[in-house]
Amino acid sequence: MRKYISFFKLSFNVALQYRTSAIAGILTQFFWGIMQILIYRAFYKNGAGTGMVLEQLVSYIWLRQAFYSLINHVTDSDIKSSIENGNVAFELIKPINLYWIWFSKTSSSRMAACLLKCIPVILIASILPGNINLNGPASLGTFVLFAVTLFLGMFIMTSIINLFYIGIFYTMTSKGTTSIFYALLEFFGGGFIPIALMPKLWQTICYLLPISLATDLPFRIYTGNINILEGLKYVVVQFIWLGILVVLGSILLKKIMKNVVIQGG
Amino acid sequence: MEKEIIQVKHISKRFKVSKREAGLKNAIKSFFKRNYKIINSLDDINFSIKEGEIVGYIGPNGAGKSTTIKIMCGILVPTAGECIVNGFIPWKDRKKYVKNIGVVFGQRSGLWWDVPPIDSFELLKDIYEIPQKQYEEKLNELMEYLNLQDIINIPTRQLSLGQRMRCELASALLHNPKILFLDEPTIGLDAVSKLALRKCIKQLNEKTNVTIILTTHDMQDIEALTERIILIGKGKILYDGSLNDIKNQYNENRKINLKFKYTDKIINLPNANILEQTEESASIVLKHNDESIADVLNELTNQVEVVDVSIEEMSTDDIIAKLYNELKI
Repeated sequence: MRKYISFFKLSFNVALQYRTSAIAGILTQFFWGIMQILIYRAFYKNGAGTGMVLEQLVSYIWLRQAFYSLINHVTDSDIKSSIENGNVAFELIKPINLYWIWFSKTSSSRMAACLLKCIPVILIASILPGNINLNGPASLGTFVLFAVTLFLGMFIMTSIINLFYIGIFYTMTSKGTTSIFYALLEFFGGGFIPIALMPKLWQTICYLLPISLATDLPFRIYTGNINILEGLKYVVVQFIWLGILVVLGSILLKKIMKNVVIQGG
Repeated sequence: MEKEIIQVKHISKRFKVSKREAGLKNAIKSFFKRNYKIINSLDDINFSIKEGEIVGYIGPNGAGKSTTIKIMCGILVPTAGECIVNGFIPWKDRKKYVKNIGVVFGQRSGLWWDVPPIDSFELLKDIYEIPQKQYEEKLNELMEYLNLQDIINIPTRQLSLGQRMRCELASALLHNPKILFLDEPTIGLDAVSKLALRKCIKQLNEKTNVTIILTTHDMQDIEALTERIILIGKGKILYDGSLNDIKNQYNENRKINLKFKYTDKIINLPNANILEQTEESASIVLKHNDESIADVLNELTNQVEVVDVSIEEMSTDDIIAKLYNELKI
């Protein structure tokens, strides 16, 4: 366990060095947030939107932007290129489990990136005028449940991304598959349209998939769109999905290691 | 007899590679129908290596050197055959097995790019579960050997290749491996760095008795470090034995180029043939390579007034090139 924690710490430190990218990220998240909010406000004025009240939606959008790095689908380029060019050999000659090394690297760089971005976004979003501001959580209980589901959600997303890395061993390159992967996760995670505003059928599909447990659930809990009792049920669902995804990934990786091709001389 | 630490028996490895002819038309065609070709990368490889030995594993590009190394490191599974290293089957017990090996790939970097090597070392300490005291001792020892004091705190991306290679070597040795795999460790290094690295490797082997398998295209590496070479070509082992034997077998006899003061005497030597002679110069080739050059020169100075002498000898590179040619690999 200690080796994975050390690994986590080192990649956390490395990720903290990317200041320029953090500043650029904050700006992007801001524009995106404001743009979305203004669009939805216009829709709501005309009587659209039934799954969420506008106030909840505004906070939902801001939180998604603030914690974007933590729960998004963006994959680690070092890990991808290590599979593509064969540098993954260096992990394989060490007494470590590749699955957990990927897990700790992917989650640590997310946490570092989030740490740099979330505080400024939350602070500024909270003081914005004109009803486009981020509201506080309904209660302390809501907040705690939000934090728990957010973290579990991050791990669920990491284990989904691990499956994607394993896929690169088959395709040998991540070009193309990356775009498809991103588009699917963005759509089914409610990135284009919040799931609560989708047609009933699509909502059902999205809620059956584990993606929404990372990208949607925590924020709906925070805004009060899901109450605490129901939220607790979802924590159990999160644990079950996490277990399934981790076991599935570990088995697939073990299997593929028997036929692995380490590229490059 | 010393213990055999590596045994490779009848190892074969086949790869499936997709192939296609050049051009856009074929690229589009291959989008719908892929053609695959089976390549025999390794074909019935056998050898064994004793503990403490340094063995040079050589062969032209694409011969199967790296594939063999990867199999012995446990990161590739062979299509057929057995391999026992240090009592383990590398690919079956990978996590336990790799605790006792160190690997340096000259063309890749195992260090963390954005942080100083010392951070990578600290991480390796935890990964290999090295006790703090043992780690410190080993690190100090390696710092001295490899002269790392000044570079260990500089981010890896700012190190020169020579400095980085020394750190790579240190990182492969921190956990005191019994076997060290060096895959082209001197590639791209300047003359001074090469010499320094060779010296380190040699000393290390003498002091810790670590078994070393070295692949390289630099014959000077081989000459400086090892007695025994294993030559592989097109996936087959073509030679396993001492480098000197190869040299004696393929070496051409030494040639002496001579300049002297004007004379019309014809040189006559008992143990050398005269290739050509003018009034002021001559080329002479020894009848046997073990003739003493000194004797020949002595004899020459008796006959002519020598001004300049140069001795031509085939380099190991020439010999190996000749060998590759002859074996058609």
